[in-house]
Amino acid sequence: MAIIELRDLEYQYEESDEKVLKGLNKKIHQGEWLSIIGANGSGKSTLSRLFNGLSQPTGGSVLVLGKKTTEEDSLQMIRREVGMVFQNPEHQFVAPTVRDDIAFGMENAGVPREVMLERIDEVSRWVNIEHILHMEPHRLSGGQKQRAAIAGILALRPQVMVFDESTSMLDPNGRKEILETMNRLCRESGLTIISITHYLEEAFMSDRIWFMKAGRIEKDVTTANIPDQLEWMEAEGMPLPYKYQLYREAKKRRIDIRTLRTMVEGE
Amino acid sequence: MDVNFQNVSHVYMKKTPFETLALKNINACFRSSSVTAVIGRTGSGKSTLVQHINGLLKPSAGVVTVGGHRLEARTKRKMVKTVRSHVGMVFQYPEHQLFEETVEKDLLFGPKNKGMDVAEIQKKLPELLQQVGLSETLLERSPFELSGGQMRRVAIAGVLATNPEILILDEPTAGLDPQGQKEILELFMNWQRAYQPTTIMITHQMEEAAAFAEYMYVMEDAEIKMQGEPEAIYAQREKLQEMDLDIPEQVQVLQQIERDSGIRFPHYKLSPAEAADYWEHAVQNGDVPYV
Repeated sequence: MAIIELRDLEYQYEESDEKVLKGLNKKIHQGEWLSIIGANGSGKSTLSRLFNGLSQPTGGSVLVLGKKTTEEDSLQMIRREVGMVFQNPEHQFVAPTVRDDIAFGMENAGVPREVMLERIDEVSRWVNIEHILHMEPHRLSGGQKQRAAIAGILALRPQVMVFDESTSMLDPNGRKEILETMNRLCRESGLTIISITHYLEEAFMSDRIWFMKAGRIEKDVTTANIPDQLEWMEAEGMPLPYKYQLYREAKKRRIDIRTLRTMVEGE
Repeated sequence: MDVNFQNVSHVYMKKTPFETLALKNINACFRSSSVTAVIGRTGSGKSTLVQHINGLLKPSAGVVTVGGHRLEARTKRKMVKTVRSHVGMVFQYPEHQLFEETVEKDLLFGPKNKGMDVAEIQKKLPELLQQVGLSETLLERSPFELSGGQMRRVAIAGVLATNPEILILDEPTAGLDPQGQKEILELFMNWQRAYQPTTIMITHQMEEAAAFAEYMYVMEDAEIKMQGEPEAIYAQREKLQEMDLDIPEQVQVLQQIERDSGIRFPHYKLSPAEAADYWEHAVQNGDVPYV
C-alpha cells in the first residue's frame, strides 16, 4: 500500500482565481526518499502543507495510510505519522533546553515518562546530539538546531518526515549535517522522507524526483540514471552543479574526461 | 579608497565575566576598487571585522584607516560619521530594514540621511532600479507588497543609491535559492564594473568568493588564518578541511580532473564550456599525460 496517496488533488487560495495545485494523482511508497523540486510559485510548498493536514485540499484528497486528511477522526493519527521539519530552525523551539524540547512533544502526545527517557536517548543518538541535550536551543548552530528539531519529531515515531526546505537557511556544514541525517534515517531506519528543496545536489541523493511546474507534477523520475535527466533540467533553467554542466559540454564535443564520467555516471 | 587594519584587536563586554576577544591582532589591506572576500564559519569574527570599517565598532587596540581617516579606540563620534558617509553596508537579510510607505521613499532615505542632493538622485532612481533588476513602475508601490526577492533588491538599491566608495556586503545572498543567489551576485559584479567601489564581501560560501573576489581572507577564532588570491587558497586543501571550509564544487571538480589526468588548468574560474575547450586542445597538443 502506498503510504501517501494524492487523488485529483487541488488547492486554491481564497483570494486567488487560479489553482495552485491542478489535479494531482500520485503515490508515495513506504521507505522511499522523494524530493520535490520546482521554481518559487510552482506549488511545491503548498503541497508540502497538505501531507499532514496543515492545510486541507479545496478539491480531491490526500490519503495517509489509507485515511483522508479531511476526516476529523484520522487527523490526529495523520499528524503523528507525518512529521514536518520547516525552513527556519529558530521557529521550532518551545522549551529551555534541547532535552526538554524533545520531551515536550512526547508529553503532549501522552507518552509515559519511562518511555520518554528511552526515546530521548534513542533519537539523540540517531541525530548525533547527545552532547548538546543540556543546552539552550538558541545557543546552538543552525545545523544543531535543525537536528534538535528533527529529534523532537522522531521521538513521536512518525512513519513519514517532510523536510520543507529545511537546509536552505543553513551554512554548507549545517546543510551537510542534515543531509547525512536524512540519508541515515531513510536508509537505516526505513523512514519515508519527502524533501522539498531548491538544491539539485540534494534531489540527486534521493530515490525519486517530482518536478513541479504551474501546479502540476511535470516530471516524476528516478535518480537511477541522472545523466538522462540533465537535459530537461537545464532546459527548465535549473542551475546544474558544475560537474554536470562540464559533463554535458564534454559530451557535446565528444571528448571523454574519465574522472568526470565516474563522478556523474558512477563506477 | 583604501582600507587598512593595523594590529587591530576587539574585545566585547570588556571587564565583565562575558569578556570575549572577537578580533586578535588583525593586519589586513583592502585595496581601492578591488573586491575582497572575508570567509569563515559562524562566530569566526568576520562580521566584527567589517563593522570596524564603518565605525559601528571601534578597535580596542590598533588602528583602522579608511582613506585618510584613522579610526582608533579614542576616535570622536564626529569623525566616525565622516567615515561612515563613504561606506555603504548591505546587512544580512537587508529586506528586514525596509520601512517606508513607498519604494521611492525607501530608496531616498539613505541619500537624505547622508545629506546628499536628493533631487539629483531622484532623477536617477529609474536607472538604479533597472540596475538591480526591477521595473521603475515599482517606485510608487509599498515595499511590503513585493516578493521577498524584490524586497531584497530594493534594500540593496537603497544602499547603492548613495554610490558608496566602500561597499560592504554581509552575506548578501543568505536564504535565497540558487538562482536568486546567482542573480544577486551578478548584480554586484555589474555594479563593480560600472562604479569600482572598494568591495568587501563576507560570506561562508566559497563558491561566491571564487566567482567574485580577487583576494581572500580566511578567518577562524578571531584571527586571519589564511590570505591570498583564491587560487592560492584553494591549493591548501588540507588546511581548509581542518577549518571545516569547503572548496567550491567547481574547484573540487577541476582539481580532481587535474590529479587524475595530469592536465593543468590555467585557473579555476573556467566556465564549463571553457574547461571542455581547454581539455580538447590540451589532448590535441599531447598535454594530458594520462588519458
